[in-house]
Amino acid sequence: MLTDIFAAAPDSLSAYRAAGFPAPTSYGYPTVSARGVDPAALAVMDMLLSGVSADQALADATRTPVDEPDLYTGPVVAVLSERIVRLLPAVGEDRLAELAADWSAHVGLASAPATAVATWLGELRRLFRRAVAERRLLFVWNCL
Amino acid sequence: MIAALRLEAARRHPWLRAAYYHADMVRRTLADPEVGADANVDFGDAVLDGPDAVIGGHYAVDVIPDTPVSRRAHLQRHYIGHDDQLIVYPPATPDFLAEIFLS
Repeated sequence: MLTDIFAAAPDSLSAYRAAGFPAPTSYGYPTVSARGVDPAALAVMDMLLSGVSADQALADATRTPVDEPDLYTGPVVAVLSERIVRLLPAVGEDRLAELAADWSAHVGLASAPATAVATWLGELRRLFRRAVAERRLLFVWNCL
Repeated sequence: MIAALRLEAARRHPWLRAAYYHADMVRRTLADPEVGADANVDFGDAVLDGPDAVIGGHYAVDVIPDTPVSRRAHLQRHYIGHDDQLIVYPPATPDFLAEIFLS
């Protein structure tokens, strides 16, 4: 599953939704692309960063603005946990590789090079910092 | 842990059943010898985004459900240039997905 994480200004969301949630890069949103980073994988990241329970992490990873979304008829946009947005940028550079290795091991990304995951987390941190500075909200664009 | 979380996620949220069914379909499709005897996945060294497989070391392919939304989304990826690079499967019905994840 394509799972792009993007930042959107709050006042742009209504139009974005009316447009059918197109690929965020094509809509001009700052985006970090990925695939396979499903809500369960994000819940694990949330748990590793914050210590929150699995139940809470999963609940916060699966919040969608649309009732009964359907991946066969359109992309599904989920809200990214604010704990991840807040805590990932606080992870020191020296700990990022360790977090990447831990997360990879837990979510089955073992075939991806460790450096690739760490680099991707670094890109995500930059996206979060920029988003917070620009008062944008963070979402995950899910598409089969 | 992740398997249990995914199962619970699929039980709670019907939309995720198609996602996890899709992951299984990708695995099964790429394991099919007719797809490519030497299929391998190249993640690159910078990002976590890339094709499902690279056939013969150079031909990128993605496995997708046969829907307009998936065709459109994957054709927008930089590593997919044309429709021939998409291997499609029929979408599962809601009843079938419920049977898999709720039984």
